[in-house]
Amino acid sequence: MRRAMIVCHSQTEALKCVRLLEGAGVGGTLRKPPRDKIDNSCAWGVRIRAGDLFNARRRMQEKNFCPSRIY
Amino acid sequence: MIYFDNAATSLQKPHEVYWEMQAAMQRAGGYGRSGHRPALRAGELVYECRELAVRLFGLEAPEQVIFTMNATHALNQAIHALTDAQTHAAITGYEHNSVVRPLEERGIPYEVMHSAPFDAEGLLRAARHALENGANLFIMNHMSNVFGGIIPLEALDSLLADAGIPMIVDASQSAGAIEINAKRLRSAAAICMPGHKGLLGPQGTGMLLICSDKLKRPLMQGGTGSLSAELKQPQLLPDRFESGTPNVPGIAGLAAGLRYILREGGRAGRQERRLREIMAESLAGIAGIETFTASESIRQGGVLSFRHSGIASETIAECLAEYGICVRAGLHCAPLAHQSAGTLDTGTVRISFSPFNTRTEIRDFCDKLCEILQKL
Repeated sequence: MRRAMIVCHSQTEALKCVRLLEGAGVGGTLRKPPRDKIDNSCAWGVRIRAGDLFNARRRMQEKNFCPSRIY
Repeated sequence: MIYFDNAATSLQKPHEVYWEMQAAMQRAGGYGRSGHRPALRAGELVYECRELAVRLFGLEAPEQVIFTMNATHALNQAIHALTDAQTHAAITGYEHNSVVRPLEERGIPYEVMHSAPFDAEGLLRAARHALENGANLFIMNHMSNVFGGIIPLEALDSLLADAGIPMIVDASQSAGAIEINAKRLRSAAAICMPGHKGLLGPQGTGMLLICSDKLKRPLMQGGTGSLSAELKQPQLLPDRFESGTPNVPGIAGLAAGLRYILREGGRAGRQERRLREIMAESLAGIAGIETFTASESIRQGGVLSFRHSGIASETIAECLAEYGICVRAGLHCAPLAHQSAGTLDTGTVRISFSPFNTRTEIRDFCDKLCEILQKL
């Protein structure tokens, strides 16, 4: 299954992202993204199904949540 | 044993507090750093506690909750972050040494807003006067740890918000017992509280609720598990103020305490106030005892101080302890409060309730106290 990663600045921010996505029916799990995919070391990410990315983006926009990066 | 020393630390906790702490010790790893299951569990536990605090205190976001060792730590952090060379602080006449000593240590000029115990109007007048004198930071003890007096927080907040002056709220005795809604407190920059008193969590826990972007300077710097390539402290919350590994088992216990308080929906505070009323009525009938009570019961929480005309407060507390009755005697780390009440030379015996105390305990306490006074 294809996955997408929402990269956040901290674990707290990533957990906030998980809760926020849950509110839109999008399941996400906390992960540490690999170094080549992040702008800062020790970032945290939320892994979701690639098929959920559209809904996830919309939800984050609605809630004014700005992740560091999405891939 | 009868435990009436809850203003220092609540001893009886909901059972979930013990269970959650034990589970965290057995199953939660390092917080916020690694990505394995025990570490993620720690992250979840801590985040859930933030969410519970958001619900209980009407905050907007979990990152506004900073975990500290205790209220003293939270107050030191808030004072450190909000003061500079231009600060002119105003404090109530009931502040604890955890406010006065950080101000003294930093050489921050402060004025004491003198008012008699339980005198809400007097405090409001003193606050207006301090504003006229140029005070630009107010530090307010929401509920006195010595007398249980509750300040008119909303009226003071309104006064300060209109003047654009920030306030630090010391909620050491009120958190868990009195409703505090951060959204409604327009002037509150920070609200500080312990986890181990009214919130029924364990010792070694506390919270600083950040209500303003004016708090910049952290008391400590170090590892946060975020932005590790940067040599400067991250500015994002809560990481700015949370360096080093936190007390995860303690925070898990605190979360259980918060869940209990939320579930009970204000019952704890009502029960404590009612017990204080009953105790005050009972003590009123004992010769030589002077109690300190508010004329309006709503202005006093579950803390009651008394002293005896001929016997030292410490002696009474010591005799009570021999019967297995736990109270505290002395100045309670708040000499200003005793100056305000005129009890600096005698101190007081302090009785402080928790939601787990009962009327039977009050009856037993009074019986034993009478017995002791007859003997001395």
